[in-house]
Amino acid sequence: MNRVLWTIIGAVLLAAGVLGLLAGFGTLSFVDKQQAVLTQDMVDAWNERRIPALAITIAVGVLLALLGILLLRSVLRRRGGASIEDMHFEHPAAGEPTLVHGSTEVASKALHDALEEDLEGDRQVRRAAVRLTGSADHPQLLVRLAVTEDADIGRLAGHLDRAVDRFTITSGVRPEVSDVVVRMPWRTSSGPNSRPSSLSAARRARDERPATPQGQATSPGR
Amino acid sequence: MRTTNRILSIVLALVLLVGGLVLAIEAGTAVNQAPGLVPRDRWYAWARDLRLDSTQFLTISAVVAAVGLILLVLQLHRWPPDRVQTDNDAGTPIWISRASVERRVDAAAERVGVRHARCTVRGRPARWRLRLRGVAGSGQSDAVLQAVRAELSRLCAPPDTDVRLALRMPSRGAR
Repeated sequence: MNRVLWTIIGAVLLAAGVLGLLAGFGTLSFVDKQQAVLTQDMVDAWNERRIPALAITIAVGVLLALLGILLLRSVLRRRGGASIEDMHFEHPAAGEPTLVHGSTEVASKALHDALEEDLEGDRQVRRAAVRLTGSADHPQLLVRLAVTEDADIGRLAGHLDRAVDRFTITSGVRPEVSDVVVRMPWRTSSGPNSRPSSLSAARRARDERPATPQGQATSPGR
Repeated sequence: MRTTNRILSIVLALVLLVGGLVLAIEAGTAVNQAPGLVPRDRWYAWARDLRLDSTQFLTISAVVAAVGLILLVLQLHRWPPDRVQTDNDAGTPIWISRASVERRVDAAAERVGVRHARCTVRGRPARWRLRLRGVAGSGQSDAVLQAVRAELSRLCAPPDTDVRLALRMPSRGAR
């Protein structure tokens, strides 16, 4: 979205700048290069319809401010929308005969923490950050994993699938894995087989930041 | 590039928000000829005096055109992907940062004797290619390619990922 927006803005600015230059150099036959930016005709036209013109200007100003708010919201909004709400289970379920009655609340944070802890159970995973979004019926799962520098991604995918299966059994919720991002922060203490070059060292320095959910976007090119 | 666009968008949003509000307030105060937030009269006089062939107007136009051109070039340029996708057929697709892939391949190549290994990943996130440069002895290409392929396999890269080696022979003094 941002890329399209800025391509359009770039094209508009380029066109406006070139038109200004052409007008200034007298290349445009329908524009007098010696005229002012704000001509007497423009001023007269404004003065003739002053009140409607001011009303339109106010409307345009408010519209621009609203566009600014919308753009700011879309840029700052968390990927995938809000996290799922706390879950509420009634016992018995409708139509189920039983003598025991009650209800259970499962905090959304507890679900997140449980899945993160399970994911961090694998020795390849240094840190896991998950986010369950959407409705409790069809939640989407976004996963960020900081893994060891020698992690086997195939094995990691298997671990993730099994963790999601366990999560489904425990919570009764089957999330759809919509986004998994893996990052391999480089440890300063290299393994015995590593032979650091100056370039590798530079890359290490560049990428030593740990993976955080806020620090990662969810998909490329969008 | 994504981060740059994000910052630019935040700046644009704030400019729109503040500019729009100032415009609306100015127009509102102008109804009663009341003083506003900006020096309206001075700006009006400036726009009435500024001619299209003046140096000031031409400079402004040139700067606007240059900014537009820079923005267009930046947006249309094919930047390397921030992250790449693993093999779709191997189950849940996973995104790995490009820098991580490059580092892993560098390290794999260095383990089989390549010096100054430098891997670059280019292409699209779902279909990427890899180029490895470095210094290695003659006849090492096959071993290096095998090591790179093995590392890509551990990274679950798509099996048809294009790998190109550009290995230089060590200089005489370094042998």
